[in-house]
Amino acid sequence: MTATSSPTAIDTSWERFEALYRASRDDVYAYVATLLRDRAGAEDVTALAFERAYRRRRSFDRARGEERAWLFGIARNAALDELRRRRRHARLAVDPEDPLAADALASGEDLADEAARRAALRAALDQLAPRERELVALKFHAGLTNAEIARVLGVSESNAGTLLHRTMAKLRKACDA
Amino acid sequence: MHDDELITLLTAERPRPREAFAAELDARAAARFPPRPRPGSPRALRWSAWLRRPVIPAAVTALAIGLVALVIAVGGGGDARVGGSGGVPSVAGDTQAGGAVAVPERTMAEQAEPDAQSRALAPAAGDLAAAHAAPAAGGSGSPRKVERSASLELGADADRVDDVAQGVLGVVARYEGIVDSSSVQSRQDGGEAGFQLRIPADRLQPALAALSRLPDARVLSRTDDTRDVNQAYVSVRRALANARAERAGVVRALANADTEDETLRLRARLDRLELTIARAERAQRALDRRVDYSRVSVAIHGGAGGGVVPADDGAFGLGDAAHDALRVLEVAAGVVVIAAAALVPVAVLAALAWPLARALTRRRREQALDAA
Repeated sequence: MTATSSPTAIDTSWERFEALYRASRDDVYAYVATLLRDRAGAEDVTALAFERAYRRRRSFDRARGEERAWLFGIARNAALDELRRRRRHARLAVDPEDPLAADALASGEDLADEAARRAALRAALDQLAPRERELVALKFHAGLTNAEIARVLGVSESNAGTLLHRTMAKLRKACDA
Repeated sequence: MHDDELITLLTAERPRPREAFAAELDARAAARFPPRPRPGSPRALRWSAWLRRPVIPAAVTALAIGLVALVIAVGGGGDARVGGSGGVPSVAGDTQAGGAVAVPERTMAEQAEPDAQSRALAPAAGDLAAAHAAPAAGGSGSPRKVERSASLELGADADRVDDVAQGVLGVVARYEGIVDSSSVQSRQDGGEAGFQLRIPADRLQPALAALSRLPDARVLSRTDDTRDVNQAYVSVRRALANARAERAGVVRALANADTEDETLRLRARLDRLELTIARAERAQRALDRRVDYSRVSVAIHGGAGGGVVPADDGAFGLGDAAHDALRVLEVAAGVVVIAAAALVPVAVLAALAWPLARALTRRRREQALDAA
């Protein structure tokens, strides 16, 4: 028997979902890690997000957006649920590690300069509001388009572009300060 | 800082998963994300917290128990209404003078066999006879005056209504009763017959027993009524005796009357007394008739409503099984209806609350992000 699918229904075959997983695994992790600012928590939430997406893959409606936007919506909800849980329970105070800090100490002036600029960027990111950091994560860590960001956040595409533009201007100003 | 440089730095800041985590997640993905116990996950925490609340499980349990009790009550009530699987009303007596006649509901075997059913009614005759023989409360030595009546519903096959009606008339003749009125309607699909009878009171019970044992008929219901009319009887007799004594006095006075006016007055009074005496005598005769002859109402139902159930050997057969299965299905359908009646409002409330709950959850998530 040959299965037929409607144009708006997701191809629920495992191969299709696996391709989405392969293409999005690191992006989802990067987005969640930026949102949570906790790598261990980000691993749990990333795994949970893919589990939920796999279970709900038949409920995906292509007419309401692309698969990546749908997947990141699930990841966002899982991450925000984790943030809520942390508010209710003991707050984890885990700072993101600085992968280049050790290199900067052991390398020359170029790397030290690079590390300084990245430190300034991190400081500027810390000054951003959580929603602005989320925009940065969706755009530059997860690599989503403005349309996908709009879908994830539940705003219009033009609104998403405007918010992103303002966030970048704020970030640039903080870096130059 | 230029935009390109900023973007380059932002991209370089992108968190990357550990290789061990990536490998572990890949393995889980290859296994198609099998469910894993997550005792610390938000959902597990929610459910465990829900179950830890003692009120909610207790309320759910109480609701379930109430539903089951309701179903049992409804099922039991249905059985009592139909009087068993035969669908025959119960046979019960009703007296007003202490001579209660009560025959327990008939069993399936009794319903299946008319003769057995008739024999089951026989003890009622003894009870009524005992009530009839009760001594008079007035201490006169004569038995109390008791008026008795009975109604009998008989069932018969569609083509046997006339025969049963003839049987009723035969019983009336045998016990020297009176047929006040009768009507017999014969139809192809059944028929009806009704009789208003008067049976000598001292032969009432044998007559009822004979009616209950008529061939081709079965008793659907029987009601015996007894009413104590002793007080009314005594009152009528006393009024009659007083009137007669007064009449004797007036007659004597009339014989000794000296004037025309007195004679006329006494004659007028004598006429009124005669009327009173005649009225009291009529009332006494009517009471005598009511006491001496018991009214019996007999109704015969022919066809599907009163057909004779063929006797069986009492064994549980295919028909019994089908009947019981149908009954089980009826009860099950009743349970479904009750459950639906209980669940529909809950579902409506849930449907109304669902968007609200989603909006609340969304709001809490956004608040969590703002507070991060």
